[in-house]
Amino acid sequence: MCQEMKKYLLFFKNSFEEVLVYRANLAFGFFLKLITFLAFIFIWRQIASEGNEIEGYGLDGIILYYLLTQTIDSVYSSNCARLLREDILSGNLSGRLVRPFSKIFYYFAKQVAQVIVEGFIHIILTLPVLIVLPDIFMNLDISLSSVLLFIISIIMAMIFSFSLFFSIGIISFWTKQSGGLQMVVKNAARILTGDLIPLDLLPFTFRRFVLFTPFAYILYFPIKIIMGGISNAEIVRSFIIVIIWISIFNFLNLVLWKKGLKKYEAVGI
Amino acid sequence: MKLSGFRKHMRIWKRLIKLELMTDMQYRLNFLFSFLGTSAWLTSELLFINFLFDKYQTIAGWERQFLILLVGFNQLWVGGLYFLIIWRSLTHIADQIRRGVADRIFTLPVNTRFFVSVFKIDWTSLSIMLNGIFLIIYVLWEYDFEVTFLNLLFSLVLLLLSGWIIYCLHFISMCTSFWIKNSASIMYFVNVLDRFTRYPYEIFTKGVWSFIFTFIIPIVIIANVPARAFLGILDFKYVLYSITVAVFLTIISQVLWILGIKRYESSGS
Repeated sequence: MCQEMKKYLLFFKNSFEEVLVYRANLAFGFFLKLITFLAFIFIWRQIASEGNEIEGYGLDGIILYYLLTQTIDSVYSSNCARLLREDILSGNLSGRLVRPFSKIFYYFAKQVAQVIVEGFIHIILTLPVLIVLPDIFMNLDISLSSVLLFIISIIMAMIFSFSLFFSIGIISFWTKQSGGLQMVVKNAARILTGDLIPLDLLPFTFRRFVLFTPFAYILYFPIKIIMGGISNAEIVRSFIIVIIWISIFNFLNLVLWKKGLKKYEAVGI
Repeated sequence: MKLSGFRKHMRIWKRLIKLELMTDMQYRLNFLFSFLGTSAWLTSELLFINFLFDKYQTIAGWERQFLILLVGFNQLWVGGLYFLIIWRSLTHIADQIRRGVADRIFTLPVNTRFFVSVFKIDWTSLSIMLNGIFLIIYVLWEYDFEVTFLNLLFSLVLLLLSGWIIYCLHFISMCTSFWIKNSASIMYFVNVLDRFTRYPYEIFTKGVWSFIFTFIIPIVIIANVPARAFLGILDFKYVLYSITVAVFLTIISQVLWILGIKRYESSGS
C-alpha cells in the first residue's frame, strides 16, 4: 500500500516541479485575473454609489466575495480533461496503459499538483489587497472550525471538478476532440458556481435549482463558509450533495474508461 | 504593398480559410459543442445582467437594453475578429517562437506579419459573432431604437478601428515571446479587457482612471464607442482618442515585431 502511494506521490512531485517551472507565467496570469476582479469592484461601487443596498453583503462584503472567487478558482480546474484528450489524440496514453499504475490516480496527482501551486500563487498575490483594502477582511468569519470546514469544502470541490472533467476527457475516446463540451460546462458554470454573482442574490427559484447541482459547492459554498452566514445543517447537506455527485461521476468514469479503452486506436504504435 | 501583392495575399488567405474550415469540420460534434459553449456563455452573461437590473433599475444612468447592446458589440469584436481570426493564429506563432521552430514561417515569400496574424482561423468562434448580431437585432426589435444608415456606417468604421486596436494589443503581447519565451499569460491580456468592455464606460472613467482606461488600457474605446455611434449618442472626442490610440499601437507593434524577429532564436535546422 505504502509502495503504491509512493508512485503517486512521485507523479505529484514531478507535476509540482513541472508547474513551478512556469511560476512567473502563472503569477502574471493571476495578476491579470485580479484586473478582472477590479471590473467587479467598479461595477458594485457604482451600484453602491447610486444609493443602492447590496443586500446581505454591503460593498466590502461583495468585494471580498469576488476576491475570494478569484483566489480559489483554481480548484475548478479542467486540466485533466485537456491532458487526457492530448494523450488520447497523440497516442501517448499507450505508454501509460502498459505501466503498473492507476491511470485515474495518475491524472488526479497531476491535477492536485497544479491546483496547489496555482492556489499558493493566488494567495500570495492576494496579500497586497489585504494592505490596500484592509476593511473588506472584517467580513471573514475566522475560527478554527470555519477554516477547517473551508479546507474540507475546497478539497471536495477539487475532487468533484476532477471527476467531472475526467468524464469529459474520456469522451475524447469517441469524439477525439472534447474541448467544445468542456467549454459548454465551463461557461454554464460561470453563473452556477457563483463566479459571476453570489447565488444568494439570485431569484429564489433559480437559487433552489442551482443548490441541487454540484456547481454551487465549488466556489459559492466554500466562500460562504469562510464568510459566515451558513448553518451547520446547510454545510452537512452541502457535503452530502457533493459526495453523491462525486460518487456518480466516479462510477461513470469507471464505466466510460472501460468502454473507451475498447475504442482507443493507439495512434503512433 | 502593390495591388497584385494584395491580391496574392487575399488568395492565400482564402485558401487558408478553406483549409481551416475543413480541419474544424473534421470534428463536427466538437464544432456543435463549441456553438453550445458560446451560447452557454451568453446565457450566463444575460442572466447576470437581468439579475442586476431586476434589483437595480439603472447602472451609471443606463438601462438594461443598453447593457445588452454593449454585450452585442462586445461579441462582435470578440467573436468576429479576436477569436475567429487572430487568437489561434497569434497563439500558434507565439508557441513556435518559444520552441524556436518558426523559421519556416519567417522565410515564406509573403508578408510575414500578415501571415502570422491570420493563418489559423477558428471557425468554432463564428457563433460568438452570430450571438452578437442576434443580440443587436433583438435590442433594436424589442426596444424601438432608431438607427440611421449614417450611424450604422459610422459604427461599423469605429468597430473596425476597435478591432484594429485589439489586434495590435494582442500582437504586442505575442511579440513578448521573442524575449520571455513563454508569453501565454501575457497573451491573456485581451481576455481581461473583454469583461470591462461590456459595461458603460461611465463606471470606469472617474478621476485618473479616465486617462488609464482610455489611453493605457483602452477599454473605453472598444465596445462603447461603436455602440454609442450606432445610437447616435457618441461624444466626438472619443473618435479622436480611438484614432490616436490606434496609430500609437500600430507603431509600437511594428517596432516590437521588427526588433523581435532580430532576437528570434532558432532551435535547429
